[in-house]
Amino acid sequence: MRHLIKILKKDVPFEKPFFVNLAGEPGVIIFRENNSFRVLKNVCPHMGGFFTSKDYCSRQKKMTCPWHAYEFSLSTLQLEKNPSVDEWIAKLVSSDSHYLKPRKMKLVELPFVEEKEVLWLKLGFHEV
Amino acid sequence: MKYNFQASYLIDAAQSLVVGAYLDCEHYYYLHDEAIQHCEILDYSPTHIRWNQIWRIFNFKIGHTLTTKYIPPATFINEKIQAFPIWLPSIHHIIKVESRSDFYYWDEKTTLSLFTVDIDMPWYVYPFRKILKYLILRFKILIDLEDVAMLARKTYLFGSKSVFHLLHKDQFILFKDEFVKSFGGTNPPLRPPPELQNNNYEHITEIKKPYIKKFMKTRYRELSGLR
Repeated sequence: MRHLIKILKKDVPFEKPFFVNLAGEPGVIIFRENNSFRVLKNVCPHMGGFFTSKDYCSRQKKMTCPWHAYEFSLSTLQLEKNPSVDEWIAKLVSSDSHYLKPRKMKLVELPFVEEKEVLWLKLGFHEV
Repeated sequence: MKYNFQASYLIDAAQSLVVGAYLDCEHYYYLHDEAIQHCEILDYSPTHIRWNQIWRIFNFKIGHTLTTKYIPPATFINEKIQAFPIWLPSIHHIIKVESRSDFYYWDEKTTLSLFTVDIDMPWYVYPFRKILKYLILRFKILIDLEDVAMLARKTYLFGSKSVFHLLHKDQFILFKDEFVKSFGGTNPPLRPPPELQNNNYEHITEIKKPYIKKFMKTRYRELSGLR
């Protein structure tokens, strides 16, 4: 199923994530900085966790997945920290273990079309 | 005096995912932070872990120490539970609790969870056994429901065979070698014994208990983005 979604720009707050949830779709997150927009899949690249407004830190500009607490920078979209490495894994594996190396993961950005007052998103399960 | 009880219910996720969620320690004290605030590892071997589950109250660390054993492919035993710190006045000084969780293959997308608890208690605690049962079951079911919410989302996004996340070479889980042996190939799943096969079981999300209904209306939706 594909959806064409119209988002009014005036509905998207500045410096705060705007969550678009659709029945039957994983949803998207829209960020607005000044007047530029970014649209991200609301899917943690680790295991598919679902972000909500509670998981956003405005001071550090990061999203923390509610499942494993993986922290993603919103400027680079990369995984910045897995707190389990220090708190858990380091105590169970040897110091040269590959489990201690930072994993490469990135939040996925989605394309959209921008018009004067609106953003158009084309969403379909397989694209999201 | 001995008291034991069992609870069984169906979980809407593949057996490999349910067992994997138990072993996926990275999420314990984040997703389940209301139940487990912190953990300290005391001993770790290929099939058992001795650890403290800790709550912080007024800067003190209190909790309990336990041993969790993994019996591949899908059985877990929690035993040798003691108060932590050992001098702490705790119910663990007067009762002895052991629990066993068996996760049986029901169908490709469903797992039967059988939770068995044995309690050895003095006579003066025996009248309160039903309260103990309620508290233990509530604790177990609410933790399971948080996992169920996440597994529902994972299954929805990646399918019922999405165990590949846990098998990934960079993903740490407890007892990974044993888990890979059990679920990384074509081994037959652990099926329920014949006496359990013909019963009607409720799905965990549909059990008629107030705390489950409340969870489903609030936290389930918040965690999974579904419903």
